[in-house]
Amino acid sequence: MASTLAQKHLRSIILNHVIRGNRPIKAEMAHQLYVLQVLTFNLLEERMMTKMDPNDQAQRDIIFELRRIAFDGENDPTGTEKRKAMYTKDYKMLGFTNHVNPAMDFTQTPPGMLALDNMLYLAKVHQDTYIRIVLENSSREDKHECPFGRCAIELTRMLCEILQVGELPNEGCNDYHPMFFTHDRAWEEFFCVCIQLLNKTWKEMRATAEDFNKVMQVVREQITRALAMKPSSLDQLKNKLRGLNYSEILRLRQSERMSQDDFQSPPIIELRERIQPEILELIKQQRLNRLCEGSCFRKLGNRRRQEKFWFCRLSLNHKVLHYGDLDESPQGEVPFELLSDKIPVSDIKSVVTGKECPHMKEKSALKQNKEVLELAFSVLYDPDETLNFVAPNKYEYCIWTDGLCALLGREMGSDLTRSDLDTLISMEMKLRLLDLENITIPEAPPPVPKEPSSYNFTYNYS
Amino acid sequence: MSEEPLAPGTKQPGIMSRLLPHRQVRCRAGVICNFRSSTCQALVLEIGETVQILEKSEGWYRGFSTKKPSIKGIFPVSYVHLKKSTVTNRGLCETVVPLEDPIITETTSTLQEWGVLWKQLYVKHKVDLFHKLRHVMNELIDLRRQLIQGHLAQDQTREIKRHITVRLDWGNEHLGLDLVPRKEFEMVDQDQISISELHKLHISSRHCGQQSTTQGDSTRQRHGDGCRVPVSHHLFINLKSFTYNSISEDADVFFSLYDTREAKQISEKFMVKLNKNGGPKNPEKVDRLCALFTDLSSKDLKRDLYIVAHVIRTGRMLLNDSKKGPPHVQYRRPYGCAVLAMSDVFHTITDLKEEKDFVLKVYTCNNENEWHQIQENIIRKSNTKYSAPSTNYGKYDVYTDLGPHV
Repeated sequence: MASTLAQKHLRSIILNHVIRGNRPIKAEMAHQLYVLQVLTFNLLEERMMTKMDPNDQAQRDIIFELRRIAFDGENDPTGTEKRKAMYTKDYKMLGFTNHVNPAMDFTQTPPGMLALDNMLYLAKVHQDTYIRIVLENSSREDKHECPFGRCAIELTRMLCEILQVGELPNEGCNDYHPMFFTHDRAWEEFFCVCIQLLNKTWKEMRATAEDFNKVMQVVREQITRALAMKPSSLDQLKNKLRGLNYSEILRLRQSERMSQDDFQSPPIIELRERIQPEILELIKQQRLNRLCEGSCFRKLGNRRRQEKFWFCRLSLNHKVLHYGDLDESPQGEVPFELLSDKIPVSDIKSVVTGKECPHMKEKSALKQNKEVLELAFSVLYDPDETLNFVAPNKYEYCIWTDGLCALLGREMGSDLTRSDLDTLISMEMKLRLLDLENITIPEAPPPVPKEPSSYNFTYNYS
Repeated sequence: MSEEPLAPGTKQPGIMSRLLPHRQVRCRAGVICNFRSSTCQALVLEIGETVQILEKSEGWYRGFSTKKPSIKGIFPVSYVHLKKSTVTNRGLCETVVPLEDPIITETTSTLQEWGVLWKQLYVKHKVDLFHKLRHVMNELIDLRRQLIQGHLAQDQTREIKRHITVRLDWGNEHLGLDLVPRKEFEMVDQDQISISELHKLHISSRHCGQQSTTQGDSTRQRHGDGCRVPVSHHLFINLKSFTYNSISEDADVFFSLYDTREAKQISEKFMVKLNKNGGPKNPEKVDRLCALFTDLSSKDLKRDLYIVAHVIRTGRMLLNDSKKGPPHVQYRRPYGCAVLAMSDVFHTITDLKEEKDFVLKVYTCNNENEWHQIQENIIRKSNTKYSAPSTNYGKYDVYTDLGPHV
């Protein structure tokens, strides 16, 4: 047709001078390209909405042709009646849902006859690919075969949806795909690329016939993501799709799942705040338990050769801090009887850390050591005494400073408390919200309806 | 659930409003927003809580929280999200169960159970298990999410279920909780399965659990017989008569099922007490010397099974003791044994429900130190080790009435 010829020239002109031209494409031009794309796709609408007429011989011949290209080497147009009975088996291998009368598969619109057109294009223009796909799937016996016919029909419908075939162009939209201007039969070529993708994804998912919809979901995601990257040609599209294989989709889904737990909406934040005091109480119990078990500390002595140890433990009723020297590092529980000195907790005035500690203020060589400074803390108690500690490591430092603060009724401020709080609260939140999986939580509290007019709620057991 | 309009009722207060039908809803729902209101009889609800709904009226539901089922109150429709549920046992004791894959339900309840224990691990400073369990719990939450989203093909869904059950079993074991017997990854219903089958499932899943902890992620198949419904067979034995001459002593006969291949008894022993004349010691039991061996699986029937009867007499030390008259001391002495091969039984009956009489010959041991394996000797027909009792004592027959019941 004349318009088609004109379009062909038009297409290559647009491709070379506009899309691939030197000047950047401005919004107005982009909009025009978009409109052209939409109108071009809308030409497909007629075929898309055409149902197959099962009695139309010309249409049924197309299906015969598909079968012939796939299975018959020799050209045998005058098939005998006996042969025609075998065709049912062939149609099953071709993946039609209705083996006896495949024409019925094309009576749903969309996609209507458009699907058949696509299949025929594939069979004629990319014959090797077509035969390969069909034979690959017809020789499998393990229920994992990909039904070509059913897939082609469903794929055509999906592509029509994605490309919004049949819808009017949107005024404000500038979104066009350069790829569709690179080929005269861009739509059909696009279909061919996608049907191969579908076949590949089906195998990667180890799908069976029952998983059909799930495979289509994955393929839809693959195509949508690839198109969003605006490939400039069909080859580039193939590359992008190769990078979006099934394992990549799984990986993308997993990172989405991980981010689902970033609880940000107001009702959740409210719940978090409500839970926090309980969790802090748990942390406090843990700290005090550790203090009751006690820890071994090193004495800061002038003589470096002799290592001196001392041990400190909180009494089980949390009222007395026991401590005493030890000859050697303890191997198990240190009984209270061995610890000669004690401080009643009620006498403790405060706990100081780091530079404020009295033993850190002394001028000695150890003061130069920054590490020791970070592990030092002291208990100041009545009347004016101090008990100086140097924790063996950061962990013990946090435990002891938190525990001592808790005893004094102060807030526990260590890094360890912050991280423990985070660990415990995030798990607690996840557990509480388990039942709300896949349910959208409203951002703001919904309005509360007015009181019911009657409180006579009756419960009928029948 | 779609909102159906209430039946047309008038807006007049008083009697007419009481006749407004309150729709019965009865399902579970999840609370999607914190709710606290001064409205009369309103419940206080936290996001994430589960409620059970009883009725609906004018934008409000009436129901209770599963945390505090005795307190019933109202809450707005917009604050909860309904879950598809099934109601069983309608009436006063009904249960409402959400409609979802049982593995998801099991994972949810197990995770919540572990949550409490996990916090205790923290307080008791069991650092190692605390961190491992946290890792496993996060893994389970993710796997459960994948199942719920339902995007995966069947193969992968199976894989996820297997992974979930391995982790659930690991956690239950390390926390000292009950082990769950599984068939095809799901918890078995105790009412639908026989006890011996349940025991075997436990053993095999315990074995699998240990395997996977030592070997890492092994892909071991748990059960050979996939989805077949387990069929239990029962064997009914009735001792009709025990004829023998002149022993004149009380005897006990012990019936049991014996597997020659494994050389062990696979059932309990059924004891029949007989008096010196061969009849039952308890006169009321004349026709009721019978027992039912239950819970034989189809696999059991394929074993080399024998019915073995051991006869123990109570009386003199040696049978050929010349002393007549009542002995001073009663000794329990082994007398003899009789066997019947189950294969013979199956060959002679056409229908599994048939009853048939069998005669079992009792043989004595030649040498008493062979007594412990007399049944083996008889089965293998090692003639030198046993013999029919000498003609002095006549023939000893045991009639049994066997009816395998399915």
